[in-house]
Amino acid sequence: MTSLEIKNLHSGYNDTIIIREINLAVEQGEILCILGRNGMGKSTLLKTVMGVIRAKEGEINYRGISIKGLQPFEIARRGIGYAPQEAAIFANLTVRENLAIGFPQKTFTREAKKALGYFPHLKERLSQKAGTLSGGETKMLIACRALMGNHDLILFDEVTEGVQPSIVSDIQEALYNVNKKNNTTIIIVEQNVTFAKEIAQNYVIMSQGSIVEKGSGKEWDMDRIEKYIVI
Amino acid sequence: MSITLLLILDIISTVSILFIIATGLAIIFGLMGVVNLAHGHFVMLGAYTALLIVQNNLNPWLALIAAPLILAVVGLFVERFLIRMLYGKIMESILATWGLGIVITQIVELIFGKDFKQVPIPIDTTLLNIDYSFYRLLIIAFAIVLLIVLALIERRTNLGITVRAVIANHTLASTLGVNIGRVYQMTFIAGSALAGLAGAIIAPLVTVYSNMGIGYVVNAFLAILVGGAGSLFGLVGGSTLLAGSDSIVSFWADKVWGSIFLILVAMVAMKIKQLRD
Repeated sequence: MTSLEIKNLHSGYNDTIIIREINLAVEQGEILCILGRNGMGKSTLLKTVMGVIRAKEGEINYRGISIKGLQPFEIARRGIGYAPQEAAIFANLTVRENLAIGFPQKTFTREAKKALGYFPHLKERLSQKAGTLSGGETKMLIACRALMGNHDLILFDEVTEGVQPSIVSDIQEALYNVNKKNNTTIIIVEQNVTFAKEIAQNYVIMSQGSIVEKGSGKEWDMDRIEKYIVI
Repeated sequence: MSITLLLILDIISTVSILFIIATGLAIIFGLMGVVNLAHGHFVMLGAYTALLIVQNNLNPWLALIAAPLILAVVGLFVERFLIRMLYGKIMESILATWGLGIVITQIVELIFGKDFKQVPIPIDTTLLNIDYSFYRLLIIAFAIVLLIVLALIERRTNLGITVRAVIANHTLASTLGVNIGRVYQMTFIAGSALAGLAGAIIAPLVTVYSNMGIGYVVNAFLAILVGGAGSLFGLVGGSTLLAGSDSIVSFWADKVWGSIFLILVAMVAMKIKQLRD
């Protein structure tokens, strides 16, 4: 079953088109990596899927139903989790409060227990203000929050950026386990090709706002990838 | 009763009144970025609700329930048909709510006339041997309870966490499944209800007339600017500084000098805040 299907998508800010003619189909349970240099439209693509930026043209279907034009909260409630690239935390709220947003108390306890199982280090930080976490801990918190809520599809935007290797492997293990246990579809925007290659089955490369390369299975052509991204 | 104790009680009750009035305004401004200049008119409508209840020989305490309920309904309609288009647009919200205030004033004058009205104090007694209005002491107690309840909601409930998250980053909160439009709507309704409640509470202490809210909304805004929008205890600080200095100067000089001093204190406090930031 196709989880996410994007047809002829154009999107951007105000009158500026950032991504154009994007066509993509991601199967349920697939881990897809979107590679590309900075400023090539990778984050804009995820933001458009999540409804943060309005699509200007084209279609976005999730499990066969259009989600184009919906507000971010409606998309989230349909089962799409999102871990943005920026320091997407509420700095003045505690770690526990950051994880609790959007959940009723009962569901929160269950979901937090599950997600914190992947990041035991965060358990010791629950009462700490999120703004006082280190860069790596912040990324853990963002990833942990995205894993809560039984999502069928999760979008991760540069979740390993600027993070020490031990935390990268924690995140990698968490994503791998969630994908295997729940058949969750995962889309990762990455510049860390080593991380991407270890976790993703398929990849696409974006350049100048368009998809220029696609690869799958063992066909990771590193020479071609290297044309578009510094490895 | 000593003059000092009388002055202290006056300061605390004036601070309490300003805090009760400013709370609804602060919640709306802090969360939605909407400057509701009609807030004072909502306070006035709350006071007229108290007046109507007394005029119809109903239990005067009923005003404390009726006024917030009526203003919640008013808030629901105002949010739905006006404010919803003005989220985050400070200038537009100032103009639109200023116009709304004029409309409310005209309607009230059409129904009740331009006369000044008085609402009798529902409980005209003193507590123990303290020669001070018991009603004013009740207002102090109510302000303290309101502060505690709001602080508990803010810190200990999911609603409070959600509201703080929306204030910090509404786009991020939305991607986590929070319906921002609903949060804004409920906030505006709650802020309007608090304005109605404030009007009903202060009605027995002031002259009730169609433009009575303007003075209150100015002081409330100054308290928010001094204390910081979105901070409950900052608002307490702002209210204490402004209403306290107003009370002290009014006590030793007169009300006009009190108001002038209040504005001077607000300007100095904002300058200090600006330098610190």
